[in-house]
Amino acid sequence: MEVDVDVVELLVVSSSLPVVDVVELELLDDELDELELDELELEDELDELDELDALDDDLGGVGGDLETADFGRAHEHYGEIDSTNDRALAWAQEGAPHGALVTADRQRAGRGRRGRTWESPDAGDLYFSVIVRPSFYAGGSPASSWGAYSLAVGVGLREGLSRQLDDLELKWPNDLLWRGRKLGGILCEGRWHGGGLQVIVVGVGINVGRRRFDGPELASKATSVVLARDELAGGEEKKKVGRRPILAALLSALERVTADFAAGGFPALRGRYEPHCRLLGREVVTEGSSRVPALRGVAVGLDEDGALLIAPARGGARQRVEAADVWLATER
Amino acid sequence: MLTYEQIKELIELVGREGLQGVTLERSGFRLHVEGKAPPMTFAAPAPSYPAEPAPPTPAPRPVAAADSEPASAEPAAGSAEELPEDGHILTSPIVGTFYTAPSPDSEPYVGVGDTVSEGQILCIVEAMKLMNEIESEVAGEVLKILPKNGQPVEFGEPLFVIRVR
Repeated sequence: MEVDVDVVELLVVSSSLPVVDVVELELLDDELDELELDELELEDELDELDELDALDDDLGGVGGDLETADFGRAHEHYGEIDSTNDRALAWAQEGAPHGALVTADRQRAGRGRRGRTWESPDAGDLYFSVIVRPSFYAGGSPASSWGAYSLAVGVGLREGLSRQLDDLELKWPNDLLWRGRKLGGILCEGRWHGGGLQVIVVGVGINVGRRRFDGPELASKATSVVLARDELAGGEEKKKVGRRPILAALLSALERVTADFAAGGFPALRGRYEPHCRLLGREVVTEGSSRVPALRGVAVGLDEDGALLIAPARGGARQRVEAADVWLATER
Repeated sequence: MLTYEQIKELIELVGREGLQGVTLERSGFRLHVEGKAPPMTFAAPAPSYPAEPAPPTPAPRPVAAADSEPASAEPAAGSAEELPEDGHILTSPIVGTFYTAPSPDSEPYVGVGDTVSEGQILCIVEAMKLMNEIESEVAGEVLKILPKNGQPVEFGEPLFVIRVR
């Protein structure tokens, strides 16, 4: 490296330090050399860290992190796409293998249940869909019992994220919550033909890196992995979380629960669901419809097929809830 | 008089239990549902029709004229109708909620009279937030859509009648 002596002299003069002789200047030169070397090394290290950060966030390269047999082994990544579920459904029709994965940094038209939207900006969150072929699991549950599969998916997400965050909860049937706020959502879509379940596309959205939610409603009801960690660290802004290791962990957990579900149905997973269900033991209200009246009572457990069991406040036998939206009475 | 729902329940019962048929008779009204899938006959009031033995299984929920809903606009009790020979009944593969459209704001997948192709999505049956898209097994014309939008359906319950082309 070269030190510009003029600059050093200028520096000395302008700093109104005692005049130094040439020998001292040369010493100073050496010290500056060392300092600058240190600085360069530091910069290199920072660059490496940045690169690591970028790699951690690069979903396209998740293959290297996978510990799964099938989930994520076939993979398409998009910077931007309408909906990962739509692409996965189309890919499934084209013959995608069991476990095939579609990821995107941003979704233009992220979908939720029954036409609801899933806000999907390019903000470091996870949007992915996995193609599950029930026929892959020979001798498993009959197709008609896959109705509770989306509850199993909830169990998988909670277990997959538990290394990142404690206190994760499930709101029946399958919302993923942290301290009462929504951290992730699931949209499972199945395709049936001739009485057979051809494929299920498991769509998942997890708020990972987002720090701001648009609109007061989302801001009060949603959270993200980074926001949760900030809160745990007492409001201090912690380092960004890479999405890639999270995705890899989620895929491992999803592969596990899918195999468990295929072998034993929902009863095989009930013990991993109920202890983390936010609704159990608390008073809840269900959404009424023109056909099924609203119900208020205490959520007491889950049935063999995943239905929520409610002991009605008005008394009488336990009621099964299969389809309605359910809230804590205190939050409704 | 039976409601549309009750007749449907009866059809399901026959299908589920694999019965040969069920006949229900009360003053001025007689309904016979024959098992083993098509042909299926909805008989209209025909008091002179020879009575058949009572079904050997638990009869469907007792029907009292007093708590029957007013007859719905759909073809149900009262209008004699036979399933055409080329009629195909598509049943629900799973327990859930029947939806005719992908979302409340969108157009139904199909309507009565529409021509459908094999593999075309006809409806959604939602089971605990698993949205099951049901494809048509046959190509043909939609003759009937049996459940109403948003109605709970059982495993094996008839959803569509399609005239096979």
